[in-house]
Amino acid sequence: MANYYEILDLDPRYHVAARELEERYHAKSKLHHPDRHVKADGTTRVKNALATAELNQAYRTLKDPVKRAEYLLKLHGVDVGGENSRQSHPVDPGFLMEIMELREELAEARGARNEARVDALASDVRARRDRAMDEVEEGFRGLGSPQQDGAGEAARVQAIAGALVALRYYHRFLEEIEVHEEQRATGAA
Amino acid sequence: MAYSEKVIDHYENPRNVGSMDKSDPNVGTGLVGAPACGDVMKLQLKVSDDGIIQDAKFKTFGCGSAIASSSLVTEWVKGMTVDQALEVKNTRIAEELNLPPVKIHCSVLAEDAIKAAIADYKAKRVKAATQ
Repeated sequence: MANYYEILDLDPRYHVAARELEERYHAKSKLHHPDRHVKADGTTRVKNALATAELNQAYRTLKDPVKRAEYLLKLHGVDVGGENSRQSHPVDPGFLMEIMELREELAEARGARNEARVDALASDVRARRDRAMDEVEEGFRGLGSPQQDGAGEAARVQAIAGALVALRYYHRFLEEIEVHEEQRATGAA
Repeated sequence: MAYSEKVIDHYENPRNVGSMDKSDPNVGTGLVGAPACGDVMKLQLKVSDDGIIQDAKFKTFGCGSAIASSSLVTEWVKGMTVDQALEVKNTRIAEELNLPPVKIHCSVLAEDAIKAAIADYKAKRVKAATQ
């Protein structure tokens, strides 16, 4: 089966130009559009529907910088695991401890209605998230295409995996910040 | 996705939330994370000198199923011996809470947390004995 990059005729790289992605997607969508196949037989129509579903999935995955990174890493042989996946990438205990402390501090700050502290924690974690995104980008910049992975590139792939896992923890943290900010805005906090 | 009544009960009234002194030689601390979803779970067990778990506390930042799984195991392991606690399987947790397949990893996390806490406790004992 073709991978998402192949479906959209794109090079398997992390950097994907947004405009190119849009253009390819729209061109391919037209190809499978049901209006073009009204006279086709049942089998062809089903095939087209499946191709459209796959195309949409490919587009959604490659459009999102994090999902694209996770997908591309999988092509490089490392699966950091999706939301519902049981497969897991080992997490550094020191990092987990840091996350635990950050979450505890946020819970305390929220409980004490210390908004300045909440804001400080939010900008700290946003900066961490941005750094992790930069690490992902930099990591991929130094990688060749998935088939050409040399032995020296394993460390780079692992570093990207580590940054992607860290990102999940930062996103969870920032989700709580968002909830808090919404409550604050509506006066519920 | 609908949560089961038991999950909601533990989520709304979590048992044994809190922290114990990490440096207490009778306290084992287990810290585990689910990289797939970004959940983090801390489980602490206070073990008597004859190997009985006297108290258990947890702190979990994650979804309802992760909170319920950790809350449930803190209730279960109290009064158990360390060896009995090591026998607690995620399948029993998942069964008790009626977890759907996509949430099984939350029960795995709770099982791993018990094991990590006991490993920490045992490491402390070994260290104390050799000093």
